[in-house]
Amino acid sequence: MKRFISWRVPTKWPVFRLDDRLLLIISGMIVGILSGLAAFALNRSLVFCLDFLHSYRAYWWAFILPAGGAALSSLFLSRVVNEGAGHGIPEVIYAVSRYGGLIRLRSSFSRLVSSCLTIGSGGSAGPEAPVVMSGAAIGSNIARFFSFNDRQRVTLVGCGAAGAISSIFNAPIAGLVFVLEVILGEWSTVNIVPIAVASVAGTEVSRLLAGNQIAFSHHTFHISFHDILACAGLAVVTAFMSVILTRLLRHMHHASDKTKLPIWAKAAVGGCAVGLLGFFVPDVMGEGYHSIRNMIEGVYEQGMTIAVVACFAKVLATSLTLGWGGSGGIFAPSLVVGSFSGLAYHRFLVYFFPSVPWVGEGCYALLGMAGFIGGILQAPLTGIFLIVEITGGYEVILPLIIISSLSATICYYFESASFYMKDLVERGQLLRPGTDARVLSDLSISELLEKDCISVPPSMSLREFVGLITRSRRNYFPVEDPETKEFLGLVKFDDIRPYLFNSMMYDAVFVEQIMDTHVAVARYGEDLSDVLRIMDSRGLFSMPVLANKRFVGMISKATLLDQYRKELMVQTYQG
Amino acid sequence: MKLELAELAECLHLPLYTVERWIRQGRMPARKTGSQCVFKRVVLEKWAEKHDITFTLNEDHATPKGHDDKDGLLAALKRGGLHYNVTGDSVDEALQQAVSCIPDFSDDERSLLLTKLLEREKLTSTGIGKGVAIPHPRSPLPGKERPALICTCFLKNKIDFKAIDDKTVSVMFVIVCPTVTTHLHLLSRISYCLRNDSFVTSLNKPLSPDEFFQKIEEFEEQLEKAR
Amino acid sequence: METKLLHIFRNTPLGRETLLQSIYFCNITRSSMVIYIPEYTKFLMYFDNDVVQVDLDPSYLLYPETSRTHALDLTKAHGIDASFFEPRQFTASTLPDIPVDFDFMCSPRSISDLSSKISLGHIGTRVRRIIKTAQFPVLLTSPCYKEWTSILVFFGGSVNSVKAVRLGLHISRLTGLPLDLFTQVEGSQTMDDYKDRLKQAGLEADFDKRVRDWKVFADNGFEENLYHVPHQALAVLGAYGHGLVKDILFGSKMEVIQSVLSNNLLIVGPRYSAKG
Repeated sequence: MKRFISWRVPTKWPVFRLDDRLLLIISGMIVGILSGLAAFALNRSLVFCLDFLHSYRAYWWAFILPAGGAALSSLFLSRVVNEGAGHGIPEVIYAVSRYGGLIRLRSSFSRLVSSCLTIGSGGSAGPEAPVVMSGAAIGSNIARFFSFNDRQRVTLVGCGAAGAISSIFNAPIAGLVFVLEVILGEWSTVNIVPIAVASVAGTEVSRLLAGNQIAFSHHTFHISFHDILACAGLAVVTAFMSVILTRLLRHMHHASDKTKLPIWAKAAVGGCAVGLLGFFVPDVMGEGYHSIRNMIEGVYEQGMTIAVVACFAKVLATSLTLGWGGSGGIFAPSLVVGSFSGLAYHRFLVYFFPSVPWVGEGCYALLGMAGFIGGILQAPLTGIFLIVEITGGYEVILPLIIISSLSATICYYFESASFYMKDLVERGQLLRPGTDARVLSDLSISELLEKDCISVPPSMSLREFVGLITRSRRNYFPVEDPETKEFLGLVKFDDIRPYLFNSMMYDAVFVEQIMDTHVAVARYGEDLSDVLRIMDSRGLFSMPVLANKRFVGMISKATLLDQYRKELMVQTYQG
Repeated sequence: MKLELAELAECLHLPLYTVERWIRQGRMPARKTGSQCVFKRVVLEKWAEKHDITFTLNEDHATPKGHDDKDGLLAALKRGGLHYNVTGDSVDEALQQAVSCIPDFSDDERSLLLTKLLEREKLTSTGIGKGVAIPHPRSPLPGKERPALICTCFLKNKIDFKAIDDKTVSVMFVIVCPTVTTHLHLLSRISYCLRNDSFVTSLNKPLSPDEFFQKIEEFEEQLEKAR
Repeated sequence: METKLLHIFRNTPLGRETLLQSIYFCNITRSSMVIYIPEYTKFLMYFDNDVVQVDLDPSYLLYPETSRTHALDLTKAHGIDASFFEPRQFTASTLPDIPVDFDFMCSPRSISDLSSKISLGHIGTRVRRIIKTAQFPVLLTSPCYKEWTSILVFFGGSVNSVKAVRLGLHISRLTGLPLDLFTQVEGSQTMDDYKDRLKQAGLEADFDKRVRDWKVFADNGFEENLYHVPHQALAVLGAYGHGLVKDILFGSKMEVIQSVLSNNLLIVGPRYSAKG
């Protein structure tokens, strides 16, 4: 008897044995606090970097600052921690859907450092995605340390991401909704409670340390009916912009992939370009919250043309930074582009319909942000709640809902998957819980193998074979080389049906004459979805499975249905 | 409770890999320690019920009861017994006599069996040729379950059974089985014996029980060997 | 089911020695071989409750145009029909995932550091981590190709060393090679204690059939006694789960053994669950 219970395995503690909910809530809170701290740390170091570099901005050579930052950040990622560039959210989603949220420990700080270097030096990127990545990694590694199982680990990954978003925006609901909508793709009570707790914890951390500031100061807007109508137009504009950003980012990626330069040099090229762009349109530099603040307050002075130019410049700067190897997310740039397009749209309305009493331009900037986020992430709820929370205004909720969902729908026509998931969908790796792809990827051939087939040698006579059939429970008989045990072919019961009652042929025919040598086979480690595709295209109901040319069993659709159903039931069970 | 992983997989009628994965993914209320898994029986039973998965612990596995009634032709023949000089000039009469020979049957059962045998006979004759008939009811008898038996009746007079080869019948094997599978099993065995011509001709004159059972035993051994 | 061995191919003379070693292992245990020719310097292995990023040293990527033919030539020449593993899953675009459902993995003593640094007395941190988390035993090859004609298991009475004995017996059954046991008696333990452990594990019956010799040492230093390990033996040993700190404080048997012995080592980690 083991009397001593390891403190490293809290699932064994008597308190948590019965149900893991309490355990998840407590650990979710811890994860939320930690990722809140990570977010706060990144925020502070960004402020520090910007302050430190502020004095150098005036010099003519200031455009190489972003280049240096981006190069350093990519060097750090590729040499020090050995990770790829990118913002990391697809990695989190991938880990959640395929490996139960296993994320490397180094991811919990690597993106923080690299994105701090990129953004702090003036690159156009957002700090949110790196924080989400590190929050998720913190959650995952805490779960690993305490040997949680996959389901619990996924919840903690969600907790980390929620805590990060909540803390950086001071917006608990947005954090919760973002995680459920984007990261997990699953709404179940088991998940929601710990994640909500983590959101609260993350928010509380940032409030304690930085004070309860709403990211953008609150203004009262009086929305009238014609504003809501005008929203539809803005939705089209934001959707259009977000499609442009998505496509441009991908083009930049391909362009940089084709360039033969060291990674750090590529990042420097991108950074340089951003720096030069910043000379003409200074608003594109950094994460850009400052200009959003101006726009919402209605003190952004430039006219419509400048706003439109700034809007496109920001899109260009973001894709230059991220596409060429800088590190950071698209959340903050999206907000900036969104608010610029909202502003430009407002200017346009005022110019063409001067007699209509439009609500203030700040309101349109705000709606633009929601539309853009809803469009690029194709996550309308996240857009709605985030904007409501960071502006502290509930009265704009009606147009927000409309613009968010409209923009997401329009984007869907052009880009079938959101920015985060596009790569995953293309590789067929987006496996949301309870979907066909997920069930098939979880099931493996080894679980479906029917092993009670009788192998026969090729030299067996039909007489012996018929005798064998009476003992077998299967209709398929693999033929094996008696010496090497290699699989030679398959005899189907159907093949011998014509000779079954013709005893004249019993001694004249041998198995090797009736076996099918061109039978479609599955390999042992193959993906089930591939095997199914072969089965469907050839109209088969079962297939032999080979491992290293040797027969190991049959796989059939009947067993598959049985296991598939069980798997689906176990996966989708709530409660 | 503690069980080896493989044992638990067997209890749940699932592949080992599936159980292992479900535990890892936290879809099953059980924990793995080494190659064993720990669980609470009540919790797991409840879980299995909710997910439509059968859960039977090994100790609940009673030996399948259908097992001993497949024990073969010889035992069934011995149970039914050999009966000589069974009278009767028509099929109906012969069957009536045969039924009355069956040991340990109540009168009600005998009459029920007889009607069932006659019903079957109306469908097509059970005379399978070479002077042999195998009367049997189409479905198992209702009521108390009895082990299978085959009642061998040597007829006093040869009777016309409307057999397929139009030969008169001198031997009847009345087959009474508790289940259809046993019935088919015994039928296939007895037909194997009857395929042997020398055995059939020897049946033309009544054999002594010892001789008869010995021959049957030989046949059964042959069959077992062929397996 | 037959066993599978994962080999990560390095297209250098050192890599050739390692591959030859794998080939020998596969031939003698009748395992099939899966070769991975890396295209990136890093890959991930997702284990049950851990993910290990393996950063290969850059020499793994040398001369990609000849690596496949080199590997094929070697395996064909020795009658092994190796399959090549093409990663299909990527965590990031340059970060492939390698499956972990192998029965053995072959590795030089270090795969992350430059091969010039490899000498006896150094197990790379990545290899250590793989051993710690993997469910399969890891074959640490000798620096130079070396055949083995017997198996030697280090048995110190711990749970892991019982696993090692189990694996040793399994390999002995597969290959028909004789098995030796090596025990350094520690503290107040007696031979009966050791025998009891084996009996508890249910290994007794097989044990009597397979074991040729039980080398028991009570005196002299452990390292000195290692001289009695046969020259041509595959050494099987269990590794412990404790971390680097404990290793430095208390020293690790594995570290000692591998720094003294140049034999091929088959190391059983704490997660290894015996199938044989």
